[in-house]
Amino acid sequence: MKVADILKTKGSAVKTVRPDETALELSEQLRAERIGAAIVSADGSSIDGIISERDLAYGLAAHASRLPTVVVERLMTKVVVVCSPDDTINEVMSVMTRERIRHLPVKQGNHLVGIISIGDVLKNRLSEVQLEAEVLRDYARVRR
Amino acid sequence: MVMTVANILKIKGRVYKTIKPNESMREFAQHLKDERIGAMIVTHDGAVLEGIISERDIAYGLAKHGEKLPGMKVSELMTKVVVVCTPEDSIDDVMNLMTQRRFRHLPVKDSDQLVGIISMGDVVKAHLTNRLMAARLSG
Repeated sequence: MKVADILKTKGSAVKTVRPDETALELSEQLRAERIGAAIVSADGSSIDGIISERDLAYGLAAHASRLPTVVVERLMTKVVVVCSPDDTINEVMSVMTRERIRHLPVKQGNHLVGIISIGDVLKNRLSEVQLEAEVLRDYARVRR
Repeated sequence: MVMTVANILKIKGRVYKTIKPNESMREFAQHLKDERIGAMIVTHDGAVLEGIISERDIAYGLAKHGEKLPGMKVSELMTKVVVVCTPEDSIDDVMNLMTQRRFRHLPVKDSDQLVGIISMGDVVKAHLTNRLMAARLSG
């Protein structure tokens, strides 16, 4: 199982915001699209950073009632860990566990081709586990 | 061997962080930052589970309440009806629940007692460990 397999089901749509958008604008988009993170990009294709619910939570601690007007650029994570469509799900699980991150942008060469969340990974594992169980059940039935 | 919630709790410890319903969202955010966690159990007395509150409630709450958010009470934004799991539940059960209901955190109750909380991160970590062990055994 590879990252490309997850993207096949989920699609390659990536939510991007500009660095100069405010935390309030970002939160409205996260809420409307029911997602937990967005890629920060000035031109819509290069990755300047990533911003997640966690950054908003920490931002609330730091900025309190000023948070709504703080720009995304000041809250985002600048060093972005990425993965490639050829990476295995096991590799992605390791990176997420080790780095304590929940979203990985997917890059092919220099192109942003998707984003994988920990929820996507879990969903994929679950379908795999269920498939394995079905195969075992069929196998048991045949042997009877 | 079927891996269970109890196995995860054994590794991560039967610890969970609690917050009182009347604490402010600003205080909640500070706790998350200090403890490097993503959610807390809401309880008056440290024993009775009243709700759960997470980073998501901050992110989505900001959209709804703007600058009023930091002064609001945890009880106003927490999720009240809390789905729980038990130590006997398998990792697969929990994966199922988290995926279907879109939860990232589940409180763990043993009989009527709150004994911990597990996150998607914990589940993925456990699943990964399990797979690596299985691969080592078969390889």
